[in-house]
Amino acid sequence: MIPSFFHDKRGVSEVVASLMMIVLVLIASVAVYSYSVKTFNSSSSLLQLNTALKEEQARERLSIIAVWWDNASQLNVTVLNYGKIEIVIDAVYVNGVRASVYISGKGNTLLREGIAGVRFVSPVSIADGNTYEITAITERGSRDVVYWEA
Amino acid sequence: MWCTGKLNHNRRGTGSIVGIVFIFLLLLSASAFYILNVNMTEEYIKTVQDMQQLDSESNKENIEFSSVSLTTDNKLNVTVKNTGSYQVHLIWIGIFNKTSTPETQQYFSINTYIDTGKTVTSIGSSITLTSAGQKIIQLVTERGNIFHYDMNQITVTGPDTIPYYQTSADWRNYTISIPTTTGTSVPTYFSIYADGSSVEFNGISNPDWVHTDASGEYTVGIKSTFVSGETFTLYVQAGSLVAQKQITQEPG
Repeated sequence: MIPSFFHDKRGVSEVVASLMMIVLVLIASVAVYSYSVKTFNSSSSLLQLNTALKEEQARERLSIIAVWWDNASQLNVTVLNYGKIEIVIDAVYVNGVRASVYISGKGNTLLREGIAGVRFVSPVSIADGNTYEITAITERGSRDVVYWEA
Repeated sequence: MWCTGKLNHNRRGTGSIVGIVFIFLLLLSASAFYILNVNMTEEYIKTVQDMQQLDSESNKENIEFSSVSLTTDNKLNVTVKNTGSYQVHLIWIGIFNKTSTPETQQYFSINTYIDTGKTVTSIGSSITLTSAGQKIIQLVTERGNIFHYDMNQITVTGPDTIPYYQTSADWRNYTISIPTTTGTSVPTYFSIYADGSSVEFNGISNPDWVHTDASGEYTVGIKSTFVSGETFTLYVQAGSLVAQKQITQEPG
């Protein structure tokens, strides 16, 4: 039995080939499965993130209810949050020009049904009697536009 | 031989089992992804629908100021009527003082519900104002609507429709209230005119030049005798302040 076991080479290549095939297929399968799982997870995370952002944005509602001017260079917009989620005012534009100097209010969280003022230095000069387009934008990208006469 | 044969037999099925397992895992992953996607989409659609409903309700929300006055102890007294399709929840009242430079803007939190068709008075009764002149009252609703009332304006209070005049009982009275810039009521001269083809004022000509009483009010009787009925406008002008009111006379 022993000599024939070590010396009989018949069938060895078939076994090795089969084992190699199994190993290769397993490696390839594991690689494909890992890649698939990773891709699926990545896609679902991205989808979740995008959908959550869109949903939060859909729940946002804001309204500029008053504009105040100090008769010099400062403006104050009073914003009402009447949506279903808290908001954060990220930027204010006057006639399409973004304000860069804020005195107060920017970045503060505004709760539901709350009002808050965002005070800033107007990026364009204000003249009495002229009308200006004021835009307030939240961190999630919602906006409200009013036309205000100085 | 028996052992080898058994192994060979098992190996023949291995590929199928591995294939089935992988197909199952793929289907499971795809199903999980699909279900997650569907759930999130449904949730998003529901949120959008809720917000569209909010926007729709907001568009149908409306209130009208019946009167704005100060009590004897200088407390604000706002009376508004809900003329919209939904109950209104007032959450903020704003007072803008136009006389100061720069103007001042103050907001006070309120919590007033007004049912459809109902009138609520004494809104802002906890707010003390030094004077009524040159102030704008702003009411803010929960649905994001804002309504303004300029206290520095002429108000004409009376019916929108009057009957075809037949007897003295068909006179209809209109009360004209004219504010002053100081907020203290004084007699104020104003012109009054109605552009209807057969409109008459009780006791005065049309047009005429009259003045309010010491409390800043004047009441005028109006009749119209146009058989087929008509709609005319009552004009009141005091200085730079102008008020117009559309009045419809019913057919005779």
